[in-house]
Amino acid sequence: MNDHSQLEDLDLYLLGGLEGEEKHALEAHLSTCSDCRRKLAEARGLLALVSGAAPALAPPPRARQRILESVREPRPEPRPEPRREPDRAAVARPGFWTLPNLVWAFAVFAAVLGASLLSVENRRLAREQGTLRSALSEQANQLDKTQAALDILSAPETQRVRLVSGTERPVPEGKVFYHAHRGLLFFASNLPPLEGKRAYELWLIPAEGQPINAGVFQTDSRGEGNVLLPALPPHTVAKAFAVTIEPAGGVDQPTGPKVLVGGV
Amino acid sequence: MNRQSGAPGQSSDGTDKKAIDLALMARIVQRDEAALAALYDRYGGLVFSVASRVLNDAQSAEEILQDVFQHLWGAAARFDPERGSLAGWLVVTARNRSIDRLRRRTPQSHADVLPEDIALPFNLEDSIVRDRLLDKVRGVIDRLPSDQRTLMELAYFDGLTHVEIAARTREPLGTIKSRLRAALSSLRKEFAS
Repeated sequence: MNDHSQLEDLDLYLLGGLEGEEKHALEAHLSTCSDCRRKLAEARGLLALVSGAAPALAPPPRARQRILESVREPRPEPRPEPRREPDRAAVARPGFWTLPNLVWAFAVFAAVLGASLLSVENRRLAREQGTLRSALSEQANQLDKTQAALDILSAPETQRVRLVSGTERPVPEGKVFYHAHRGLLFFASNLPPLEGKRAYELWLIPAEGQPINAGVFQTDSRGEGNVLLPALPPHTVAKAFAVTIEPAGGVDQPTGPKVLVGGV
Repeated sequence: MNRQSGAPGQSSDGTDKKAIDLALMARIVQRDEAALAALYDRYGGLVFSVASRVLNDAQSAEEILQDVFQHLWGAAARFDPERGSLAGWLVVTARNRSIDRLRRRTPQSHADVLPEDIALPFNLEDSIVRDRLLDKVRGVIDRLPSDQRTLMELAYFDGLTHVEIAARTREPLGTIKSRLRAALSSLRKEFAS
């Protein structure tokens, strides 16, 4: 199959309709033809719509909790208390093991053991309480952040700004979702990872005054990075956004080359 | 097929909903369970419906539902929903994994796809738009000649190869392929118009 694949062939391929030589020829062609891979993605999208013929059903209510529990990472077990070496001098003393002494020793030992166990138990409970409190606080914080992100994205007043750079291929791009009261979300794509002690820094250019540091970020091997809900002065009216390359950790005012810019 | 404006199912609101998916995926990469819960609330019903249609068993469909969202959680860092469709990926993965289970094949039988491997002509991100769109799909499939509709269901929801369909229906293989081509052509025309 040297020709570019017909859409019908791609449909049949996805539906298990090609076998043997026909299938291998199409797969070989797909491995070298980006145009046909794009057509295959479109054919897959069309077929995904067939799923719409499935009657709409709601999963059982327990399914949600099960899924969330299944992805929850187990918390580390508290470390056991270090064992103490026994006091060899106390057990080796001659003439100590008379019956009254043994009775007293046993009573004292039981009391000390009980108090010690209670103390260990109390410390363990306190540690678990602390871990739980911090986990709860972390979850509440994450929930707050997610809700805050959704609030920004769904608010009609949110400004959507596309930041571009016109020279490189693939074109580096940034998307800002900015709400003057609720905060900022930023997603970068096709920005090459930086080497050395450098970082990308996002700037909010206000309608009046100096640029405001809106967060420092790095990009991954696919050129993607993001800044979510950075601390910003409240109620700032934005005129533009920009990304510069700065020393790792960021700077107060832009000094490096500007790689992305977009006006509101 | 990619339409930027004026298509049913495309809207600025749909674009915003896609941005919400992007934000939620970014939070999932950072291990935010609340973001996974939010995505489940948006798409859990869709995934469960597809798995139930294929498997015809609520318990098995629930297991596929869990499997798909666990996979989403585990592989989130590799996903780029901006280049494809997260909703489309969820639907395709639910269907493929359900077929694998139905036919007792290993999960690798259907190679895992990524969101960028699926170019949906419409936004499935907005639930209102999605419901309207899926109603339209059901209408189009209901209007297909019954032999074409049956073949589509055997191929898509039962995961039978065309050779297996030919054996089951006792129709020539060529006839099976022509009818399936005609069915998909109708679907394509309906959503291209």
